[in-house]
Amino acid sequence: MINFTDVNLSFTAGMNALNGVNLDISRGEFVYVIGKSGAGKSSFLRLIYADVMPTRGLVKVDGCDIRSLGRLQIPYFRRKIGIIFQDYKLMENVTVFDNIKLATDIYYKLRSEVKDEISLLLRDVGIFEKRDELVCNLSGGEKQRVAIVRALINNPQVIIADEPTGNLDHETAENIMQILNKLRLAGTTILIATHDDNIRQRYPAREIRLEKGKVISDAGVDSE
Amino acid sequence: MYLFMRGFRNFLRDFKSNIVTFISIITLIILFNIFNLTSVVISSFLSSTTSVDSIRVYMLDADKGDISKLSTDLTSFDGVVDVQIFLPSDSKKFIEENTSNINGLDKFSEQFFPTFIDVKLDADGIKNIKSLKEEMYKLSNVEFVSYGEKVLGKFFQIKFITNVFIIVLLILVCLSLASVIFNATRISLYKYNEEMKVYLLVGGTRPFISMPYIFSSMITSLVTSILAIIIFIMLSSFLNSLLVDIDIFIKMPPVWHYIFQIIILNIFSLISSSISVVLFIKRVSSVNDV
Repeated sequence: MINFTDVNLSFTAGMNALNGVNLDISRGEFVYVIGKSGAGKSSFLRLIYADVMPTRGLVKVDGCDIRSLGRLQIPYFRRKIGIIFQDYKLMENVTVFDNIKLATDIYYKLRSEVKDEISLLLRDVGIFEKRDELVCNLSGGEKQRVAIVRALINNPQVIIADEPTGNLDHETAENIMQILNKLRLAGTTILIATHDDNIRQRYPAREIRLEKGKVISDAGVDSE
Repeated sequence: MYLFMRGFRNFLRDFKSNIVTFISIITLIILFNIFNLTSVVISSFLSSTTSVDSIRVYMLDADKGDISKLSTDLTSFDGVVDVQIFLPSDSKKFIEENTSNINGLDKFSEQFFPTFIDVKLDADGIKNIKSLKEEMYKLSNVEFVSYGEKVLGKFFQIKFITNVFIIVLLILVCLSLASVIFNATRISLYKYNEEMKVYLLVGGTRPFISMPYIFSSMITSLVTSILAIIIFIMLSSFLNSLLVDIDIFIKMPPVWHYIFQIIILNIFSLISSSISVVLFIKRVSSVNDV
């Protein structure tokens, strides 16, 4: 599903964010990307959703070399991927429903067409009753659930979560992980960049450890 | 249609914050139309003033026999409808009756005034006025032939300058409107910055993201230009209703003037809003900056 072959990424000359990364991630795999701040976790994830291009090497997602993508093709490519951020990246003064609806707008879908689908996913993550509330009135955990629903609404093949529990208390983080774990069981490929050891112990999976832009270990079990 | 509806929704949402833009555009267009109306009035005045239907043939010293021969010769030309003879006494009287503010005219003797024949022309005569003038010069006892071409030339020059002025003004108004729309679009884009970045995050294409904002600007400029012209027509009609009591009527420009204005202004605004949106979206490039 995701292949990295000798990938280098540098933002400034001589400073590599990623250095000679080689790895393969299969369809439906659940992977933690771990490492200290500045180790290259976010850069690694950004390459997968073609937000940056490798300076050297090959990145393939679902058989597609991201360097071959033109500027006009990137949006279509990105529709295969659901992205969740630590800081949610939601529109604060818009309702929960409308935040999710934004993601369906790209398919020119009307409100009435997506109402049931959104409601179903909101029920799944337990915030259906908050659908008409403004996002700014929600707690951190609720916001992250809205972000998850937004990432899921277009049925992506891959979910990328960059520190999804970073801003949350233990109980809420556990809740979010349960939702992501349910997705894993449904066969979605999931990559999570995290610092949280508790989460990794509770939900063991393959762990790719990065340090100074290099993969220093790639191990773990997929409990499936 | 979906993108147009989104653009319309943005237009309604931004209506309040765009009031300054509406007022600026309406003021600009009304000011332009005031100048345009002035030019149309000047042009129509000049057209009526410069309409030529006769040619004057001035004579050398001539007796009555020469005058009547010349008058007969002139009548034989194609395009000549009628001739009227002005002896020096008639010329003096003509000037006295048709000219104001000339003091001391009565002190001049009649002998200082010319003898001339006013030759009335039909449409064919007017059409061939230059060749008629050449032919008339060939007749005996003719000193000078004129249909007022020097004055006409000056009037045409005034008309030309007025038209150039209006075209330059239209270009300036278009550029002003374009910059107003450019800035208004940019300001509203800042408001939609977050929304735009979310669309980029979930895979929205650039045309999908940009079109609603361009449509919204188009609606803004179309609505305001039509509104400005309606206001202007209402104001001019009101002015005409006041002036009718003193027998003055301002001739309104033809409808195509307004349609042309709306088309030109909206083309400029479409170009400027497109540039504004494209430049803005170029800056909103990275999902990670959301």
